[in-house]
Amino acid sequence: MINRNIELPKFERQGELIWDIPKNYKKGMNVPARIYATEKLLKDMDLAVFDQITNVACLPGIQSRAMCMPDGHSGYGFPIGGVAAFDLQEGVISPGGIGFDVNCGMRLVVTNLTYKDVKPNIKELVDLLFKKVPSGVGCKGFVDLTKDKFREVMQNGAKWCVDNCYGWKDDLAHIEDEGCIKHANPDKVSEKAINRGINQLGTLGSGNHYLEIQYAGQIFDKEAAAKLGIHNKDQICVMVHCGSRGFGHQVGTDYLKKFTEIMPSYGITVPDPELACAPFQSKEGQDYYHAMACAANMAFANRQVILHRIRECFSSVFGTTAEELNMNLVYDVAHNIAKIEKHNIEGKNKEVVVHRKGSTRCFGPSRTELAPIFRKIGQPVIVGGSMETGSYLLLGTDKAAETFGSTMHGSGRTMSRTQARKQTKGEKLQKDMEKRGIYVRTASYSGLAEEAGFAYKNINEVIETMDIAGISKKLVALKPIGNIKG
Amino acid sequence: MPYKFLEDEAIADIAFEAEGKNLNDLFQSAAEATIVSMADPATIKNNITKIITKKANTIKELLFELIEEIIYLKDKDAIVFHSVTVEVNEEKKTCTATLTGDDINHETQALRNDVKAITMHYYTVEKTTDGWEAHIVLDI
Repeated sequence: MINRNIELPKFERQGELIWDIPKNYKKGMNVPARIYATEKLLKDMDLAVFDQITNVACLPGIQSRAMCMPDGHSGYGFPIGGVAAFDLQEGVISPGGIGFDVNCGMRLVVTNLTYKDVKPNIKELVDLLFKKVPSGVGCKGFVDLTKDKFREVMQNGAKWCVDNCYGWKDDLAHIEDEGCIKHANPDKVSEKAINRGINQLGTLGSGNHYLEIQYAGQIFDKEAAAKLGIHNKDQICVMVHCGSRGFGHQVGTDYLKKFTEIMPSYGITVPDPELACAPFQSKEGQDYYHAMACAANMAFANRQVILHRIRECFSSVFGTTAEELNMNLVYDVAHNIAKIEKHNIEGKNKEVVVHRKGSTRCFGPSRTELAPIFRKIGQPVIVGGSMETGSYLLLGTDKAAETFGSTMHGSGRTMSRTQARKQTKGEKLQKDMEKRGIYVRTASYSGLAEEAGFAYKNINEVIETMDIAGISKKLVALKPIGNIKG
Repeated sequence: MPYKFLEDEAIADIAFEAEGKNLNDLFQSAAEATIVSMADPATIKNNITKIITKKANTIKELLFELIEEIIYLKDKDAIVFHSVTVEVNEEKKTCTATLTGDDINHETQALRNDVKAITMHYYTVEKTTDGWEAHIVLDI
């Protein structure tokens, strides 16, 4: 019923890891497209990635090139791993370039505990976290909010949490944009979105979202890692992956429909309905940006209150305070977002709207937006792998200017959820993982099977790609010992 | 089966094709595929009834609106569904869906995916020689 004749592009190879698709690949491309990948990762990418990234290159006002990171796989409109910057005056904003789960992102917390301290308590700890951090279908959060309070969350993000005793003051400096995107305006958010989101603060959700207990398996730069509180191998960290839940999705759906309606009035046509967009400076474009900021702030707040619960659980299990356990936030970073940032475009410093969809900001030390501690080492980047294979903490570099300060967000799927379910059962996977030293609790066994390690690309190869390209540098490899799967 | 999940599409999410000999059947098939994606209906009691009424400019928009509303109800009221029936008025571009279900209970229900949105990704609703077909991708 659907025609998907996608032609494999004739890539123009630029060195070992860069594959350019020239403007003449497809009618309407305003700029070329670029894929960062090893030859193997490129071959393993589904053809739709190349179709989608060259569709992105057709959008009005796009600057320099449309890019896809090595974890790229097909998404809606943009591929996952997609990065594009648009002129602030002539360009557009597109929900399809941000993702429905606005500000889906990663958070990493350090402790002063070691593998030996935690391993004997891992079941008690994971069971308690599973009980205290709601996950799975339709889960309700543990923060009771009135609509007025929820508006405050939308406007202030993680700061609202710290002001309301769900965090430490120092946490804010360790969050992208201090956990609050400016210009959030709750008046631009529908009642439907508010009704979906008001009970979701403090929930993991489902799909590929998780909370994981990890230990430092390898430290690549001891001096820089120490600055972030990771001093030794075997040190215990906690990683959280979640976003703005149904709230962000409703914001995305509302504006996708609105943009589909109004695009013709601006003379815009797009090659894929999921690329529906509006001029950034138009009323509709600004309305979406202000609503998206609300969803982004809700996601920062969501991860912040989850951190509060993590600290409470560790404190309970280990019989001491979270302060005594040095449970400091390493960093929190978005990987589904649009931001106004200054970048060098063809020799000129220019403000642009950078869309990152399944891509993480990875600013180098020279970026003035970073807190002082990161001006010495670069911005921490948290990349989640599969629950079986481990994850990474990286640092952004100044060379990342060539990707508008962006790198990969995860390992990227290679297999559909249905295929993964056919290859294993959740109950079997849970037992197998426990034998390998990873204790998992899940809200859905079918969901667990869908997240099996074999359904993902090799995280090491994805990380190496951007490390060798000089965009983001490996800092710590993190290995899982306990996981809560939404 | 009036709907079929597609293995090779939307690798991070859920894709399905639904069909019906008329619009009532098509809408019902698509709604069933959506509620089955959220939870196993066999484990959901029918203690709650919800009625959805929608109007749109086209049949394609109407089906989109219906699926979106089912997803919305799941989050707003924290419920999952046992059954759904749909009646469509093709001329007026309206539909009424009656859903039965229950409050979400992680202990007693086989919950599957927290479906968050219907997408426009390869979204189609087409009349065929045998009736109607739709292709839908749900974001989870």
